[in-house]
Amino acid sequence: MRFSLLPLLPLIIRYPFLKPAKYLIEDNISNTLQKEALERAEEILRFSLHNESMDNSFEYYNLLCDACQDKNCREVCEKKAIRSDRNWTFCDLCGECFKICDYFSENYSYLKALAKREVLAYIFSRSAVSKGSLKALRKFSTSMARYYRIIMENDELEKLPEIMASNFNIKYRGDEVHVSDFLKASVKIKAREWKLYNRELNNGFVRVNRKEFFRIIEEFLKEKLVERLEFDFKGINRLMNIVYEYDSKRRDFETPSIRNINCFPPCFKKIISDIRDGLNVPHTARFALASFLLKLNYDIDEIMRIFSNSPDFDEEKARYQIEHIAGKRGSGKEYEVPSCDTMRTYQNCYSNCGVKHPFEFYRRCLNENSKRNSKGKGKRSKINPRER
Amino acid sequence: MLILYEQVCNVDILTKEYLKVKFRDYYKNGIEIPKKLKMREWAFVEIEALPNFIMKRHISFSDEDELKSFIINRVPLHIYYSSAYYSNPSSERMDEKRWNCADLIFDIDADHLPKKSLLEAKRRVIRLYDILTSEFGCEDVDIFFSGHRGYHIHVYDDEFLKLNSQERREIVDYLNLSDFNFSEKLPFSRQSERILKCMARAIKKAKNDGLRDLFPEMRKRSVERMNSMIDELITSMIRNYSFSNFPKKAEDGLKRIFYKCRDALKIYVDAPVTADVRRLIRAPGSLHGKTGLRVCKISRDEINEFSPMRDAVVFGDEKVKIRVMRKVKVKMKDEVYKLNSGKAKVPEYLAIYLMCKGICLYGW
Repeated sequence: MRFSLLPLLPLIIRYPFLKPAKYLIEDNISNTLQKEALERAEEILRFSLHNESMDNSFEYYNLLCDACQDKNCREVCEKKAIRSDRNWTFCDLCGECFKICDYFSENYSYLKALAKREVLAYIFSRSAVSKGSLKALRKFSTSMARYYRIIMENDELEKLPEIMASNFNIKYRGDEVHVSDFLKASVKIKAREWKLYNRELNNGFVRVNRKEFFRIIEEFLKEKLVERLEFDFKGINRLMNIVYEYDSKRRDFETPSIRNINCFPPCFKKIISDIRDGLNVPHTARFALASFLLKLNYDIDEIMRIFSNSPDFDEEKARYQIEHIAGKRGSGKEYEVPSCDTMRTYQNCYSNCGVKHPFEFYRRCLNENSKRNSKGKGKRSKINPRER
Repeated sequence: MLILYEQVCNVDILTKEYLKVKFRDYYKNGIEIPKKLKMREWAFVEIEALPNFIMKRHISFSDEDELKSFIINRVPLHIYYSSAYYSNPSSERMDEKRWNCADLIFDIDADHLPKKSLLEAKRRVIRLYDILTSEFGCEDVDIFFSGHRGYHIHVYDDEFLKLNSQERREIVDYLNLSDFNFSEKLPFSRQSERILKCMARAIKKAKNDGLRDLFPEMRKRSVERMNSMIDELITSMIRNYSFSNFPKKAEDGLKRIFYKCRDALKIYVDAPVTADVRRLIRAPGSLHGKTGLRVCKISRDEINEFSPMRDAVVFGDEKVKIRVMRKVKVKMKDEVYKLNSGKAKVPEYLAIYLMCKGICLYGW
């Protein structure tokens, strides 16, 4: 019991999100440790939200299990994952075997203290950012997932992919990952080489190299890190301030729901002009347009006026449907504007804008306009005083 | 909640009653029970409302008997259930149904194909089945004739049930080769391999005399030179997934062959059906209300021989008096029927088919 979790400690120091890390914080936490962890959490938040630098060099390590002959831990494994070696495909990293490790290392208490600090800092930073806005949470998860991916890429531990696969319940068998796990990550990655048809797919498995596998883990991590963690502790306020600082900086960039028809994405411009020309626009396109206009605070009568030119316009039916989309009827749920993927599926997309969501196009266009305007004003203010 | 459509259909009370009796007789002999019955939402279109198409949904059943007695009492014209498994399938609000997971569904509709034929749809569904079982490793897969204009495939393997809409759409892109474009070097993948093999066949077929037609942009002498080493060029193309050994001027021709092959290999699955994780799908074993044909399961071994207008027919051949409303020619059970408008006596299965289509009425 004395060397509980020993082989995993160097891993947990690097990757405090691993499942067995939870056993480390069951013990009492000393004041010094708490203070150190808070400082570290602060560093993590400044790094992830404010792009400040953070040390990511770690000492070389090896999985001690490889050197261990006894493997007394074998008995506790219900999944029969340990024989003379560990069969990672059976392991789900529950950590039970590591808890009873009796291997010896003189570094043990040092490693354990370091691991504890990292796990606490990880939980502290996640809890603090969980109380902030969704934007802050997203920024945090994106930066931290990328950070861990870079550490994984530089990690020479041979079995690291297997360990990660066990941790996230990913079906992985030496440079192949199950297509369902692959898709969870790949649909979030834009690059062409992540399209499934550009991949070797056989019997349910997609071939990936080590680097690509860590890229997949990055997406799984991102997903995990945007989950809000409810946990209060002494010193959280100081961390919260870093999060608020981020949110107040962001607020300046946000675009209010201004209407600027010139900035509408090509799909909605086309739908509007088709309706104006009296063409029969498909239901899915009308739905998309109505949801888009509602988000820009158009009221129902204004939207009705736009639709009134449709050849099959039925005022009562149209009003009912728009109210439904606005969430004023039926389930009371306000419908979201369809993503570009959905627009494409229903053949309502007519151009390649390089955005994922029609709103992204709109927001970008507004931002560009406002930048241009403010530059224009700047020049005028230089000229104007002389004229006066 | 009701969904209303208009259906152009001629029907009278007697015809409706006749259909009801016949459909009930069919369902009395048994109803197919889907996996995890309790977690599915059901939807029905009733005969009474014809010619309107009124769908009643948000219905669920706690056991087989409840489902059977509902169907035998109400005798619906169309029967659907949800591909999704819900904790509360009968809740009227979608967000309260509590989605757990959903079967992975594919629909190939003859009307979406370039040739618009059921035979073509069958060829594509066979290819789809083979890709799903070999490339995707699916093991629990059923093929169905939809009862009307297409084929469905249901996949029940656990790994695929949890996929979200976006992930399912990516599978559709794989099958339909959406945005899979020409480049000098193709990615190493099964789909590239298929396209390359198809291209190799096309080029080999044109060897000697036909090559100039495939590559009209090239000068005669260059085509002749290419022709003399065409076998080596094809071999290296297939081995390296690359067109770099072909002359520069051949690119336009290669591109055309590439896109022709790509479109021929496209499965044409209906993207919105697969991407929708809350879809209502036609219940296997039920009758299609527009034809009276059975939504029937077909095994991979039988499918080559399967003929919808013969093998999906469930009704008998007892003669029935009908009033035909317009001239019609139908092939059913390997026999061709030509009917003019007016009175006729035809086998029951044909009578029901024509009634469902709104082409005839019951009785003289």
